[in-house]
Amino acid sequence: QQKCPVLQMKSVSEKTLRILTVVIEGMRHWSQFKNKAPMLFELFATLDSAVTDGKYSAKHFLMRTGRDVVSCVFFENDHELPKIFRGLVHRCMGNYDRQSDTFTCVSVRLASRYEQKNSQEAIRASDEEMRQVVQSLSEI
Amino acid sequence: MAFNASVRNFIPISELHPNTTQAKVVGVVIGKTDARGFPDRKNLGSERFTFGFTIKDSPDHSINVSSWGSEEYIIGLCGSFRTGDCVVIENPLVTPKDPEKEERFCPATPSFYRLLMTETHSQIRLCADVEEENRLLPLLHVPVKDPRDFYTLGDINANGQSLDGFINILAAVRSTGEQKFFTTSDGRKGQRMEVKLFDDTVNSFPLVCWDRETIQFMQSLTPKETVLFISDARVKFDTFRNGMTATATTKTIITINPDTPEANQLFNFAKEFSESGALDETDNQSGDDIPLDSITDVLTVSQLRSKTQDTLDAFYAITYAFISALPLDTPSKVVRNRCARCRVPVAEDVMVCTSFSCAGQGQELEMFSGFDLLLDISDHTGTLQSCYLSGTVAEKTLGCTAEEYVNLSEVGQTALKWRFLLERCKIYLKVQPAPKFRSGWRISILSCSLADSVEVKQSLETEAL
Repeated sequence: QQKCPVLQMKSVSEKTLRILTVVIEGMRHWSQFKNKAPMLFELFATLDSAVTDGKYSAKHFLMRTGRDVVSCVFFENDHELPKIFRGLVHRCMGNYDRQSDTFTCVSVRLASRYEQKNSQEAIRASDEEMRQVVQSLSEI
Repeated sequence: MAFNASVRNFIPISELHPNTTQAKVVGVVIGKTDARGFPDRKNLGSERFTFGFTIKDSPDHSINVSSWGSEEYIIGLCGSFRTGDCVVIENPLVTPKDPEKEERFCPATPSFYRLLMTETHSQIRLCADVEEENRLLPLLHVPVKDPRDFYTLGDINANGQSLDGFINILAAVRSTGEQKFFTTSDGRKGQRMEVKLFDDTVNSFPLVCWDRETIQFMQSLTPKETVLFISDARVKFDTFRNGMTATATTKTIITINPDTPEANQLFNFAKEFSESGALDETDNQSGDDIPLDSITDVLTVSQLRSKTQDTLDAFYAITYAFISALPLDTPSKVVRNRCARCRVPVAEDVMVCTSFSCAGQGQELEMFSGFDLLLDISDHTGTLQSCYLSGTVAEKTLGCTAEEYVNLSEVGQTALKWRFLLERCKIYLKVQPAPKFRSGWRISILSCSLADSVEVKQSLETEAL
């Protein structure tokens, strides 16, 4: 009887939100499992366009990692998009929509040099974790 | 007799006069500043050093002493005694006060004079006479100002911005913060410590200390069991915190556990209040207090989860994870009012405490508010939901008290939220079994601060091994 809550927890844990540190390619890939494993993405990428205004207080811009570029949108709901700079590396947090191939950011700021440098390890850990998750999904 | 001889030898502060020669003065040090350097006007490029202190030899008499000289001399002299020591000063120069400077920078004393110590003529040593010490030490508990002339913390808050200047405060020590070091723009090193005070009107009030001497003095006090009479504390409105703060300056004299009826009453209140667990619980809702640096296990969210399956005991861990839910823009989910007597949470619109075990049942409700919030933390392996962040841990994390938070504008609250939301933090956790909780575990945050990216990288590397 004592084991009951433990088992419950395990099933809950697999469905809880993960925050993955990714490059654009990884984000496009892992997002196909979004329904089975909810996820948000932390992306360190270079601003590759001007920031333009859109409908519903949206800001549009492009972010690049390596050769991949993704179009991003930020809605100024409760806070404004801070000043971001073309050509510099920023840290974006958000949700990737596969259908429209859009990264909806909720938090964007300049990334420090240390953060950029050290993000490689987080990307590796996130990829490793997701490989295992995907493997366990296919076993079920 | 030795006692008589010593009494004969010392000149009472009240009888000091500029014509006094070969004076020998004894007193207990009731206040002291750090040694400081100033550019020497006569000798460009070099610095002169100075420090000052105040001694008292009877309930009504005290005098300021200052000394100037080379760095070596002043640092040595300044380090040779501390506040609370009894000292003998031989051959000081007795000079009239410079009213303007004394007023601004030195503690107020009844004497018309001040003492100057010079490197060549004067000497200072610790008093070795036990009987003299026994006579002097009780003076440490006599406030230097009229003991009935003080503000309660509630008075200060009620006056708010209109109160800007030097006042006397009577309050108990709630906790002493961490000493923080910094370097000023002109290259000088400095330090800062914040002491939280409380009394029967306010639960937590900041007293900021800048001097090393004052900081050491405050660190030696026992929180929750010490009442302070702080004479000439600088109070002002802090626009950043949006609340009142007090600062200990070179004018300030702090008297520990003053021997007055008002202080005694506050001491009893403080003791009762802290014994009721009222302060502990807000300080550390998870119960026992283990030093953070003894926690060394670094775990991911999924490792934390599997550990709960392996053990039935409480455990501690560090995790580097993102805060993925933080209700800081919804004050009702952040600050909770509690009955000041029994600490049970109460609704704001109810005028009495509804707890059956409350001693103050039926009496008018006295409330205080504190942080009490639930947040989710996530990493690449999953999410821990509903982790408790409360009391002083929350204050330290967010950098403000609950009162200050409530007074923030909506924009301010949102800005505070985004300082932490979705940022990677270094979080110290206590995980303890709690059958009443859905998960079976209660997770309390013991410390939370933005993570250093190098540390994050190292933790991920170790995880991979």
